[in-house]
Amino acid sequence: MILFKKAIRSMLRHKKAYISCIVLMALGVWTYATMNTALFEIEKGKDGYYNEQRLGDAFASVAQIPKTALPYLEAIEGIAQVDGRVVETFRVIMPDHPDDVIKLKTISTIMDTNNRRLNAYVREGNDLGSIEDILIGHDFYQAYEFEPGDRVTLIIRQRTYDFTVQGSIYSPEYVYIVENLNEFFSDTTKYNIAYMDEVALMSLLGMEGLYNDLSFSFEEGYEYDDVKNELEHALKKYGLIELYERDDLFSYLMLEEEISSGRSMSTTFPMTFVAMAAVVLYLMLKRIIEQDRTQIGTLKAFGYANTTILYHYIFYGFVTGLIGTIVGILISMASIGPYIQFYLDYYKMPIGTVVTDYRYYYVGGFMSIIGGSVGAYFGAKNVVKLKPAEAMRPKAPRPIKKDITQMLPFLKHILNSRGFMAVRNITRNKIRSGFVVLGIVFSYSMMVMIGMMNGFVDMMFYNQFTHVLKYDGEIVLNESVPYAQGVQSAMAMEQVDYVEGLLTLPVMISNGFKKSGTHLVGIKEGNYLYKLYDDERHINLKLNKDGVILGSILAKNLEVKKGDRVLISSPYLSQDQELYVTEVVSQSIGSSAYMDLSLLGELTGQDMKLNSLIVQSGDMDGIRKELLYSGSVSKVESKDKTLELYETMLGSYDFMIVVLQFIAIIIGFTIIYNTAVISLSERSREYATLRVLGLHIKEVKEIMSFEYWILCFVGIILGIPFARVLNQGLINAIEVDAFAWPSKIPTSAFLIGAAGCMLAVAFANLTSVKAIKKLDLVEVLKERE
Amino acid sequence: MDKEKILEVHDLTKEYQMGEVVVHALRGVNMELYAGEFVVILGPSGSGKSTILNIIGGIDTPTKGKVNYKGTEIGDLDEKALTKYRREAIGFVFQFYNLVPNLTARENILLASELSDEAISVDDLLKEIELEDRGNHFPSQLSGGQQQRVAIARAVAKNPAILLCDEPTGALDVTTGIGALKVLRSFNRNYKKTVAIITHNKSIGDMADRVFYVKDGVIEKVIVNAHPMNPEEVNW
Repeated sequence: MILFKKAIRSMLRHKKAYISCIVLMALGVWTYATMNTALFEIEKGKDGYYNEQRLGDAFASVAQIPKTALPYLEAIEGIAQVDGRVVETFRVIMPDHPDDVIKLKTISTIMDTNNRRLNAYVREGNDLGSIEDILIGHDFYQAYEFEPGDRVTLIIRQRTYDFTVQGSIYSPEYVYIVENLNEFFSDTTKYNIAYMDEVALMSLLGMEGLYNDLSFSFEEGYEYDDVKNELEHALKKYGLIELYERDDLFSYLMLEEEISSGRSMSTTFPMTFVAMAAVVLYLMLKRIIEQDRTQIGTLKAFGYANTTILYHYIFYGFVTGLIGTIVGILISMASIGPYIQFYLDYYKMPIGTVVTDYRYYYVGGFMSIIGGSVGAYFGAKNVVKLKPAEAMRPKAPRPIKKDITQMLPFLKHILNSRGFMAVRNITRNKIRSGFVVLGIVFSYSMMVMIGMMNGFVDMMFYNQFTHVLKYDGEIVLNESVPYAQGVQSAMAMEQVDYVEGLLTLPVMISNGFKKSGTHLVGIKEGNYLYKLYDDERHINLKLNKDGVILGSILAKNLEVKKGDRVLISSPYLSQDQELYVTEVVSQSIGSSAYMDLSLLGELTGQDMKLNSLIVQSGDMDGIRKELLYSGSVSKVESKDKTLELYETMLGSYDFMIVVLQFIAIIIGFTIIYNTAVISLSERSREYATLRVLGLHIKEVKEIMSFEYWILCFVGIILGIPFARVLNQGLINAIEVDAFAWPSKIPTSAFLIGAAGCMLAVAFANLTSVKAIKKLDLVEVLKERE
Repeated sequence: MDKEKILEVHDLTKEYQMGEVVVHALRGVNMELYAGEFVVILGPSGSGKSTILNIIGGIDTPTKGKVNYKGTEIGDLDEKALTKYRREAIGFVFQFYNLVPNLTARENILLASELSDEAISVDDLLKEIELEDRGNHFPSQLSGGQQQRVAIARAVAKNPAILLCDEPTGALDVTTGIGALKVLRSFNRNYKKTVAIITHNKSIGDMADRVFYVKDGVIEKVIVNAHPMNPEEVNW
């Protein structure tokens, strides 16, 4: 009991140092419990949801396929079920948003829920009851405050139709919704999904008895590779546009990526926090044992057992871990709801009531308490070896090994005696110095990566909007038109200053067994408004009439390089074409292929055509208003509006970056501060002597800060290659086709990381000034060494 | 005495609050120090002698009373000015040496000499303390007596007017203790420094110009030695 009191009092005396350890432990428990609980709930919810709603194992887009062809596909070995849908995107007229282009990707389903094989989850309201009914994506439904019975107007084949909104839905195929793969962010208020009766949709599109989209379920034991070739062959005659497995379904892939990166972070992050706290405790306990040397001798002389004394010191780490656990669990309990909600804001799926899974609290708590106790044990274990009489004598000085000034003689010419003190403090406390450097390396590389996320997103949009898209807006047409006709029509509009045309076609590009569905963009020779800008080489690439240019993400997926040959197939081409890859363009966003427009015209077997117009205009709003309800125009996009949208979307992203940066600085500060406190307590006598000698507080502080600036500098230098390794790991981990993580870390990220570490060192130095001011010179000097 | 008075202590009182008890460490001490003299402040443990030294040295403050150094009231100085005073006027020698373990003997002395424009040459000082050949040794590689000699050289290096020594022989045996006293005497004589030693060892009083006897926080008596002994003549 007395030893318990002693421990508590000692901890209270050094409360700041213990609090910072507790903060690290709490961060460890909090991140572990919260991330794992959230991931567990999301994974559980996702699996249940996919099973319940019977998410397909593979999908295909075709030009048209008769309903009657489906049983033939089901006869293919390995295929258990084929479901056909009509999928088409329609403009929506929202009277309160007349200037916005709002669309619903509408998917057909059958009204008879008992026989409905592919489900959508009705989130609010009722299921379809008549051919006039429609179900719309839940966040769209919420954003525009729909209620069952409300009417919504869709433009279908240039005519408007009113539907009755029966309720809102979630679809397992669209937990993450983007209009196309080149879009980085999901704006579900402008683009969402809808479900409608199959007969009604077929009839409205003039596709009675025809589907254009298929979902396949495999028989047990069969995989995509087992059925792929036969399916491809069978679908070719129906104008196969795209065939892909569930793993390549963009929405599925995004969620899987999120979960898998979350899984790795949910262990590494907490372990790092706890390990750091444990090392700090180890250093602190080591110091305490030295300070308590005489007391330990006395206790032993009284008859206290070695184990009792050892447990007493382990208790310091145990208590730190325990308090860290309690704090971490409390924060976790408070934040788990918002944390899961954060996921659900991005991924649209139902999730049942979150059940507190105490497993993660137990494991997190165990990790923290054991981490703290082990750290304390290693710091205190020498207590057992200490003999009572030996303990009551001052510790024998450590033998002097080769001095740093002998190894680096030039130091004698550049350092004064205070500089020597700092340098030797580093070399003679190798474990502590190593730990500080390690902490700075970790903190620095984390800040570099965070800075890079920021810089990357900025760069991605900067490059996209300044180097690639030179136009002010884009008019996307419903159908392709002859080039000259399209350009002349656009030029006839008074708001248009200059116009160029693009022809974008969905294609399948293959390199042997590697295949990728993408867009092939035809660009006219000598174009000005759409550039093929290489993000890494910072140059514009020229189109070549002999082949195709591939985006770097696409080239990576297909495992091709410049000079290789690829096969391009599409129902829009007169026949499959084998072409050379004339160039690979390094791109951060998107995964398209590019070709000279006249060559693409030749491949389609028609004259040069376009299906979108890119324009220079000071009045994109005017163009939008004029073309909003034009039957031939699919959408009018203004670059400024898109940029504005991205900036809004990036708001929450920026907040996340600030939080992460804050955590990185806290880690840096905690390590530096704690080691500084330990160092200060070890050297209080030295510093007091210097004060008595006549050194000002600032001069004494300089010795310590010089030491930490050196360590900070070394940490930053070592952190550069470490950050590069981390970055490479990230490149290997990211498999999303929408964007490519850059291989080069921008200088700005390195500078941000350095600034963050320097901030942490400056903070720690500032607090050390207070401690030096507080030194009681008389008391410190009275103590025996 | 026809010497220059460099420091005057007037009615020095120091009280400590120890829990609920007020400890009267000093109860109106008056004394003065002259340039180049060698004084010993003698007294038993707890008599207040260290407190006098600490207040004179500017590392402690009195509850009442004044310390005047060459016309400057030490009590009126702020932290910065007090540091300047310690830097320029005072050299401290401690019972447990307080050398910086990470600096060699030479560097420890250099540490102090870097603070002064009128510093004494480090080589001269090493010669004076007979450690020319051990200048590059770290404190842990030196004996207690050698460490104390380095500590004395470090205190002198700044060329201060007053050397305050708190039990400089307290941790040393007779031989090394005499060695340390010889160094102090030599600095006193060769560099004309005022040296004030506090000790409970009465024999050391024999080598002082004046001896202050402190008891219960007051100076009981002051003895002037007409013929101060040399350190090696002192009978320990």
